[in-house]
Amino acid sequence: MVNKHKRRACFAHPSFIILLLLNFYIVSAQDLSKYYTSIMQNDYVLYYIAPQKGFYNDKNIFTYDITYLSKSDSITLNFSFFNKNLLILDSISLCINDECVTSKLQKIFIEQNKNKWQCRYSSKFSFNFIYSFFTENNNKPKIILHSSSAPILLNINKNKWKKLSNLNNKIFSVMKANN
Amino acid sequence: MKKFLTVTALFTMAVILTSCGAFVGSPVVGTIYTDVKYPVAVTSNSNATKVGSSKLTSILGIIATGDASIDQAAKNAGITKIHHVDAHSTNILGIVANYEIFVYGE
Repeated sequence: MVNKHKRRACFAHPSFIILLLLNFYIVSAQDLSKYYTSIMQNDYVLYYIAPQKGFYNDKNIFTYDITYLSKSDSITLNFSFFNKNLLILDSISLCINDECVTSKLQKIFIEQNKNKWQCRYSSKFSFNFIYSFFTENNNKPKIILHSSSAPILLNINKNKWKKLSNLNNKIFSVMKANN
Repeated sequence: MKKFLTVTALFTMAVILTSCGAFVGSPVVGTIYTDVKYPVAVTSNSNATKVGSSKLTSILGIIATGDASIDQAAKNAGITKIHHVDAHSTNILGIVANYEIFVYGE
C-alpha cells in the first residue's frame, strides 16, 4: 500500500512532468521531417531545407534556406540579411578549411522590416561543395558578403554550428541516398 | 502537492476551455503536443522547382508575431506560379505554437 502511494507520488512529482516534457522535446527534435520537406515530381525530387539561422555580424542576422532538385549538380541557397543600413550585395563567399567559393547573387527583394532592411538574395553553388560546407563539423565556416563597400564577415557560434552540421549531415545523407 | 496538482489541472482546463494559450488552427489539435503537416491549396500548375516558407509564432496566446501569408512565402523564394501550398503546425502545451506555410512553385 505504501509502495503504491510512493509510486503515485513519483508520477505526480513536478520533476517527472518536466522530464516527460523534455522527452517530448528530444523525441521531436530528432524528427528530421521538421527541418526539411521533399516532394516527388515527374523526373526528380524537390528538397527544401527550412530556414536556418546562426550566422551573424554584429547585431545583424543572416538566415538561409536551401532548395535542391535531385539529379542536378547545382543547389540553390536563398538568404536574408537583416541590416540597419540599406545594402546592395554583389556576391557571397562560403569559406571552409581555407577554401572559399564565391557565387554571384540574384536579388529577390529588398524591404524595410521594422527598423532593419531585409536584403533577400539567391545564389547557386555546386551540390558537392554545399554538402562539404554544411556538413563539416570540425572547423567553423565563414560567410562573406560582398557589396560595393567593405565586405561583411559572418561568423557562427561553435556549438550552434556543431548542432547545425549534425542536422544537415542527416538531411544531405537522405538527399544523397535518393539521388 | 495535491493542492498544487489541482490548481495546475484547473488552470490547464481553464486555458484550454477558454481557447487561451498558444494554439494555431490545424485539422487536429493535441492539447499536450501537436506536430502536424496538412494541405492548404493546390493549383493546376505542375513541376515545382522552387519552395518558399513563412512562419508565425505565438507564445502563451499572449504574444503572436510573424507573417505566414502565402504571398510572403512565395515572395521569399521568388515564386510567380504556385503549384501547391502546405502547412505545418507545432504546439507544446499551449506555451509555444508555430504555424509555417510552404509554397511550392516556379
